[in-house]
Amino acid sequence: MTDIETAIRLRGVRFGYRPDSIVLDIASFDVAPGERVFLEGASGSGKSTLLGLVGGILLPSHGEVSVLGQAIADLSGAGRDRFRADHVGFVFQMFNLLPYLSVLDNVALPCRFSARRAARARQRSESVVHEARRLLGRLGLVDAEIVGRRVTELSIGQQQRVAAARALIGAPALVVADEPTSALDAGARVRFVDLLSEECAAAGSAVLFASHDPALATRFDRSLSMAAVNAAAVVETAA
Amino acid sequence: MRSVLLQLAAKSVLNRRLTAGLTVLSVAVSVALLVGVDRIRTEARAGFANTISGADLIVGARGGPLNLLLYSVFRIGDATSGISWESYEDIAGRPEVAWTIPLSLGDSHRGYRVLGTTSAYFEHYRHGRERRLELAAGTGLAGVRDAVLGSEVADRLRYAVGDSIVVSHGIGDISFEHHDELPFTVTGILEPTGTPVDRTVHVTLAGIEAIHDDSAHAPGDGHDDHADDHGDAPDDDHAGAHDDHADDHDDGHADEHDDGHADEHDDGHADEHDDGHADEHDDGHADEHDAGHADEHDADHAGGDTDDHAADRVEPDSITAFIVGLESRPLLLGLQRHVNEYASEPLMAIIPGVALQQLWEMLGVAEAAMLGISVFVVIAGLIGMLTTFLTSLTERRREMAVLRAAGAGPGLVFALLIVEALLLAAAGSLAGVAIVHAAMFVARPLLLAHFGLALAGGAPGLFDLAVVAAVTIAGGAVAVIPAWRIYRYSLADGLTVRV
Repeated sequence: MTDIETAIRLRGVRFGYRPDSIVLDIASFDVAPGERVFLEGASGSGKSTLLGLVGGILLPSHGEVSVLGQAIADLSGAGRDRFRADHVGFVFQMFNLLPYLSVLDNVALPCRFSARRAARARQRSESVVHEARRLLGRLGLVDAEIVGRRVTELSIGQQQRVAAARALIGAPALVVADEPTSALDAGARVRFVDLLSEECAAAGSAVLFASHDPALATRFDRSLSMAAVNAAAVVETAA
Repeated sequence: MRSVLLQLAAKSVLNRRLTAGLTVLSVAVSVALLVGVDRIRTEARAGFANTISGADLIVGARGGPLNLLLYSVFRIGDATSGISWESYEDIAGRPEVAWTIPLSLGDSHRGYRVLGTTSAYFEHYRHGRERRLELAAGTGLAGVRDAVLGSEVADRLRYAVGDSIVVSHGIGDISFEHHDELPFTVTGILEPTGTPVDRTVHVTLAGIEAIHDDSAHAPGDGHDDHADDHGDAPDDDHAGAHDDHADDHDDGHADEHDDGHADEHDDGHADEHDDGHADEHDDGHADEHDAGHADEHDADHAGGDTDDHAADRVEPDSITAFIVGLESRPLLLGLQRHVNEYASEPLMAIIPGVALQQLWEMLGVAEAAMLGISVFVVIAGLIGMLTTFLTSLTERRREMAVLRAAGAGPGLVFALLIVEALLLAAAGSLAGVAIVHAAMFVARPLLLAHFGLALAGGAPGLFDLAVVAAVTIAGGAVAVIPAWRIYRYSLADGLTVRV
């Protein structure tokens, strides 16, 4: 999709919430553009911290984090927020949706913060709303059934698919998913991962999918263990 | 971006409509109190200010200017002493004086003050915005025994034109001395004015004189003193018989009433009046007057146009105060000085507006206290809002994480709370103002009908707007505390909240 070489690039990254305890120590970590990477690790392995670094929420105390060729540390706080809005879609384990917005408004939310994603959504469909409907449809959420309902009336599975549609709207170059399937049953997990992969492939988005469930690893281009990536992981889990 | 903020804030508020509604309500009630207190304050001021208009000076015996204003215009309190008729005539006759209204107070009818005056009162007295007194029924003062009632007096005591009433000496509901030998006849009833005029029984100066002359000359003890007074008081510069009267009223007569008569009535007369007279009045007199007296009176009037002002012309010994209208306003201070330095009698002239100003200054402390309390209630309302915001923060941390994951900066999260608070505070304060105005709209006809209290009403004023603005801004300021906390949380939580 672009001429940049890596979607995510970490070099010599160390991070600690307190100066005396290092949570994350990654010598090298790369995700290629459009690549779908499975990152396996139990909670406490530093997964969320890694995702925070990639999302520009956290800054490393040492080393360099680049997303889509952009060094995150070079951006201001507001710049990082804008960069995240423009280029990264997120899906979390739960609490992905705003209870006071409709299903469609939830899906369209990133387009409120990013003109770039709104423009790309309109490139694909007539309008942001149409694109939201299209994505929901692709993820198996039939229009009339879902759109009229309140977010809180949806099942967990439906909520996660709405969240996936939101992460995908406006085709961000990177989709980061943090345990998006852990609240789903086994059958639904595979279905969800396949739908997400399919749509990311269609949009050309790279995927960083973090989960403690190794059964899903086969669905991705590449699989990594957090323990292998993070030199500080053992220390953290022991503590 | 700004529209995103407003939409998100509005939808977030709507989602929590119960707590938001209660917050709005608590702000609304507190603001209603504040605005209500201010309304009452301004209405009260307007009420006082509307009671008299077009009058340039009020002249009375020397004393407190406020006291003079209160007893002469508002029928509150009593005069310490009066003005001799000569002084009145002298000042009234000055070239710069356009008109005067003499006022003679000190008597009452069943709790309502009786005011002795002349037809000038109905001609020159103005209230509100230069409104004159209008008769709802009957005619003005003509004969010596005529009485024109304020609307409330007529309404409460169910009097109609033609009824006869008895005036008591002194003030208060139960007066021991009824001048029942000489009843007055109701010849007119005034339209409601929303001023103390509604609660006043108007009679002629001559009528007042007649009461006092009559009681003075009624058979009884104590009048030997009176005669002596007459003899002992040959004031050198006064020539006429009436002038001597003025003196004896001031000195001898007052004492006589206080001492002799009061005791006498304590024992014997009080009962007699309470029982016998009331019945007699309800049954007998009413009919009698409906049928006979009204006619008789009409006849009087038909033939008695010349008598009309003859009643005015009867010269009393003294009056309580008088209202002065000037030919032109620039003469005001000159005349005021002249009156204040009046040689033959200690007099005082006050400008109604200036005296009212003094009244406001006096009441200012109480008003400030009321407003202060209301302000604290508003603060309590805002603290209530702060509390609901703070308790909802845990729940909202998730919401904020979602927004941040979607690309919102922590600044938006901060602003979202501030905007929500502004919305709630604005809604609350607007609702509070609306409550007060709606209440006034409903209460206005009732207050006018039952208490003769005329609320000016009108559109929300500058104060209301200022309160809405101030409360809204204060609401936003108060929200800085939870907004700051959520901002900090948002930075620490990042995109996920483990709660």
